[in-house]
Amino acid sequence: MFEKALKGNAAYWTWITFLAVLAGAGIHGYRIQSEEGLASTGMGVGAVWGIYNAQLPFLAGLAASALFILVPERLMKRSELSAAAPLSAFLAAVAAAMSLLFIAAGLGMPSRIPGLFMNMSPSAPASWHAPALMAYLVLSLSAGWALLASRKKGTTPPRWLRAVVMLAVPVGFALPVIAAFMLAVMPTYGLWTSAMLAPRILVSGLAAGMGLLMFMVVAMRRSAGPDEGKELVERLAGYTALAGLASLFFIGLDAGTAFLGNLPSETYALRLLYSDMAREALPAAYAPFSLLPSVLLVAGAVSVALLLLPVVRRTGGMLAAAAGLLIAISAWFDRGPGLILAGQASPDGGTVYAPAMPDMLVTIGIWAGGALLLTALLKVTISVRRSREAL
Amino acid sequence: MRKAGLGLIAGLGAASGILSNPLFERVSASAWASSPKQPGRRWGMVIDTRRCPEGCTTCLDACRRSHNVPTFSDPRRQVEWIHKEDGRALLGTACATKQAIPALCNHCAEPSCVRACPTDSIFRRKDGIVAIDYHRCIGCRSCMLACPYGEVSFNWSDPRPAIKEPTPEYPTREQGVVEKCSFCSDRLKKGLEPSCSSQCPEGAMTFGDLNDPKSAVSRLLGSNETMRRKPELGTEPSVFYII
Ligand code: SF4
Ligand code: SF4
Repeated sequence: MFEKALKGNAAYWTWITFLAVLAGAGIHGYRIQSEEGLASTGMGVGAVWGIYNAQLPFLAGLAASALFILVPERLMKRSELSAAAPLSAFLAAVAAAMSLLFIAAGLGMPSRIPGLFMNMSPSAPASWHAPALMAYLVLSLSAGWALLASRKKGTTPPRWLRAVVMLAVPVGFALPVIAAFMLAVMPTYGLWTSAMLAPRILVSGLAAGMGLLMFMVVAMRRSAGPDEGKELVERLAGYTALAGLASLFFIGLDAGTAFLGNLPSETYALRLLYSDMAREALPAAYAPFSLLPSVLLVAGAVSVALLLLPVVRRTGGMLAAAAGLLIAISAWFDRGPGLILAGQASPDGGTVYAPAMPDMLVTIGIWAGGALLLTALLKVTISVRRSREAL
Repeated sequence: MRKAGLGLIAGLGAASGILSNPLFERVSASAWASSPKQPGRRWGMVIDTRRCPEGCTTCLDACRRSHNVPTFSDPRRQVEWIHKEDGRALLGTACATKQAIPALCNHCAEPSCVRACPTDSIFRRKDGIVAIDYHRCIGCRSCMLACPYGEVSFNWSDPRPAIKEPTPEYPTREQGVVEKCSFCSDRLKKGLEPSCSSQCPEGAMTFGDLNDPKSAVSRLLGSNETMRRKPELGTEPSVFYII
């Protein structure tokens, strides 16, 4: 089935080449990093974690979001979601794979990666992170593949797939909880010790996952005909809007608690994100980016508002797809760099993290690798769908 | 009537505040010994800041020398097991002195660094020492963020060229692992006191068994008001300060 990913038109191959070049740049960045140590990155005393760890909470939520499609589709016989099921499983698999790569990229001792699986310390939440991601990667990839294979053959999916999905439920829901609890052991960082952390990771991951799924289904419709999956897009748009609304509500709750309680660490982090403060705290070269958090927050909120309009959901065209994509990007910043990088900054002053060349390249490279994998899987999905139509 | 009631409550609050004020504490050795969670020996240290003169770095140098601790000039790459810091920054506003006083890993009884380590590479020994296995650490730096005192250092680059006076007595570390004060567990095994406390010319650092009521540390704790760093976090440090 995978050979389908190796056949495509010029546009497809241009896109693939583009991603491959970026992934190659990532490998180059990693070579620099492993030669010179993490000293070559933007990390250091006062900015102990950088842009690698900053991807992990978001990706955990994104991975978990697939359960909201797979469980109703497989276990509750909601066949109207069937077209989205393999896609959502693949999205989860890519998120899990990327998480594992980001964990590996941030380690000082990459040669000891097996230790993450062999030297587990059950009372430490971080210990469960890599094993859970690995299990979820296997589960979601096999679920996606089996769904696709049965569609190709025109048979009903195998029965064992139900067991796979049932197994994926606890593992998938554990991901945001682990991502939150591994931060909760760090008592001096206000943003990380909120009990809202796990629900916020889950809900914004859900909004992002549904938004991306909607984007992919709209893209697929363009090649498979306008009547395809119209209802599906409308449904996904509804899920995205509701999850986005919940996410905004949670952001408000956390911010309200921080400012009403005048909690020093939390308010400092929020001010760093959403006021002029970042302009001074960041190195001069990054000053133009100091507005990024506010822009993304507003863009996400406007997109949620758009998707709440029935007419946008019903039309399900590029507008809805763009809104879905923007919500995903906004959620990425909120539960990624915004949470980790601003959350780690100390009110007593000191350095604010800004990436250097190697960590920037590696991060871009891993994202490109994830996009590459997702493109290939999407291509296979579309080809399977086309070949079914040809029958 | 209402006013009197409030006054009474305020008075009670003040009284109980004195009794349980976490900033200053008078520790009775028997309280440690009888605590079921801390049987046996528990190593600890009492630092008498009154005796520690400004500008003296004998303990810091002794530590660096005896454990091959690298010296990096870039503050963003610093590795240190013990350092001196402004007393107020260290112990809070109740500490009157702004003089620099020594700070090291507190070998907490409830260490957050240990809860953060995914590979069990940083762990609490039965004698209270929080130790690191340099051959097991994967360099994820979770422990650095979890330690509320910033007492864990990371080798951002190869530490060996940065060791000023290498000693064959103790292993060197490699790029990519964390390190911190070990309470000189290597010296304790040989019956020696930690480098810092044994070389302090002023006798400002006292090391010993907190669970032994007759030890020098216990006697100091019993006869002085002491402070610990960030006691409100519940980490239960084993390093005490006399102001
Ligand atoms: S001071 Fe920090 S490193 Fe030392 S035991 Fe306590 S939490 Fe761990
Ligand atoms: S850096 Fe090493 S000791 Fe610290 S938490 Fe990670 S594996 Fe454990």
